[in-house]
Amino acid sequence: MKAAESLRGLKIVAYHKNISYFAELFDIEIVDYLEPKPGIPPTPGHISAVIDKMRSQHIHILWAENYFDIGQVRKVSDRVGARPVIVALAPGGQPEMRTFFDMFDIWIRELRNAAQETDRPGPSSH
Amino acid sequence: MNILELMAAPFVECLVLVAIHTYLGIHVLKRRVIFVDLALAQIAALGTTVGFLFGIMPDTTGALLFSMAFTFIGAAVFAVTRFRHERVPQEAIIGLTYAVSCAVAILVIEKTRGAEHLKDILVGNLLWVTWSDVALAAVVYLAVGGIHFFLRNKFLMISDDHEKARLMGLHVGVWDFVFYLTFGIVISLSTRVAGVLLVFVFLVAPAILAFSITKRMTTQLLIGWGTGTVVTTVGLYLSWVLDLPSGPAVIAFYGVALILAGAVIFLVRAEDRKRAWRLFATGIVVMLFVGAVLWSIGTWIASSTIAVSEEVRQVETDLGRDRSMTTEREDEARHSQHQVLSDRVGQCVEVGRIAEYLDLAGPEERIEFIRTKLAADPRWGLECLVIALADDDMALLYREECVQMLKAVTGRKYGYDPQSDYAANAPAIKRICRYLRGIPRAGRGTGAT
Repeated sequence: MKAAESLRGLKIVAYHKNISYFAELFDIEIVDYLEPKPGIPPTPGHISAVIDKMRSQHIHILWAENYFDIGQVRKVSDRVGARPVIVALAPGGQPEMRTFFDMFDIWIRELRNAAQETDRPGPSSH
Repeated sequence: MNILELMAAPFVECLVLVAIHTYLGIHVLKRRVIFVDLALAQIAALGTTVGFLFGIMPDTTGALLFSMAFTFIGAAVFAVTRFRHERVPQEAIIGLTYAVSCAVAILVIEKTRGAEHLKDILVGNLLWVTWSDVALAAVVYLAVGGIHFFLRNKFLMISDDHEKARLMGLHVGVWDFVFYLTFGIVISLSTRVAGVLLVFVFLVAPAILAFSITKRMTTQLLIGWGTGTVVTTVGLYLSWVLDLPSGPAVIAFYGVALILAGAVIFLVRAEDRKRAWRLFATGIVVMLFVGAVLWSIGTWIASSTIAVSEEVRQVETDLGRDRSMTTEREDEARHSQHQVLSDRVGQCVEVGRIAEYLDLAGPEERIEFIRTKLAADPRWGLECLVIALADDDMALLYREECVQMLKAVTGRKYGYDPQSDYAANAPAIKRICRYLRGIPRAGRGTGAT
């Protein structure tokens, strides 16, 4: 829980709208989604708007679930200049994720690592 | 971000795709194996999926090897199933191959997981193309193009007339295998990037146009490449300007372009120009009429089933309404809270303080607010403090903190017990209020800071 506190105010971009509750609970701001309508390829206008947002707000974290093609996600994050955080969406989805507690631990750990690596600008103050 | 930055790599990728697929498309049309690309792409995907069964992640070299191996098998199947005296059209076998490999892929996925991967094959996403994708595609397609250039006579002869080629002593089966193998390599690579639909269009659409204009291979190639480049460029540009998903936009524009080109060719080629124009005009009138009928039926159905559409709209706005209902409820709760608090401490705090206090989001913010106010303007801070002490919504911990602050400022606790609620603490609150009324109010100037 303490670890999650440090994520407060963190801004990320997510692939699909999957983790709204988690993000709300820990005050993580999902600035935008790469594919707002699942299964329908996004429009060029949407992508360029997201990339512009990521640049102007210095967002370097792309959240994606591991059921996506990992190579594909890496390509996307290369394209938008972000560090991918790839995790399973449910327990059992990755080897060390057995319970819901594991899941949250892993999510938080991965996000913190990413945040430290990308040297995020401090949490946005309201 | 401008159009070049985002669309340059996808655009070049499209040109590379047009270059090889127009050529292969001409072969495909000559051979009458229109859906062979769908089948081969599906077989390659099946390979990746089977690899997944062994724990090989998609997008690794292992997965690539698996999909290549399966493409190999597919090529063999298509080379073997070209019967000499066709009783069954090969297209039937191709369609069957597609269906079976798709079904088997689903069976395999049922054993593992990765349905997302299967979906990727169908849609693809042009916009995610990177320069390394483009480079890889260019190298592979150049290699395939080179092989085809050296073997062009054999391939062409077989595509044009395989019976004649056989009579001239060519091993049709062997060359068919080589053809489908190279074809499969191209297809499995390009579907990964552009998706099955776009690849199919790249393969067939320019070739169709070229075929309807001329019979000479070189001219066909030039026409195909030319129209492919123009249509793709315009399609991508439209997807940028009109903000549409790129792949589907290009495909749809190909459709429009083919219809227009078909009309032009029909008008130019016609022996009796007048009759052709009349037919053309009739066609347009019929289309407009059908469109108008559909439109009026649509609006009629929509207006006669308002109840249904209303329901749909309701579902659509459910989320928004839920939210507004919540805020309504919150407003109500806040109002009653305000009432309660002003009943309890209204006589000793300034009007507006309670609203100000309730505006603060949570207990932590409130404590913080009180602390800063106490430092800046003790009277104001104490007013907030007494509101907080009378507020049963404040948890034990926070009330304890408030009492500590109270003691720090006034030196007393006035008998307030943080463990009890207002009912028990009412006398203490009264005492604090009395004390508070004894403190003169700061001037407006300082109060406003």
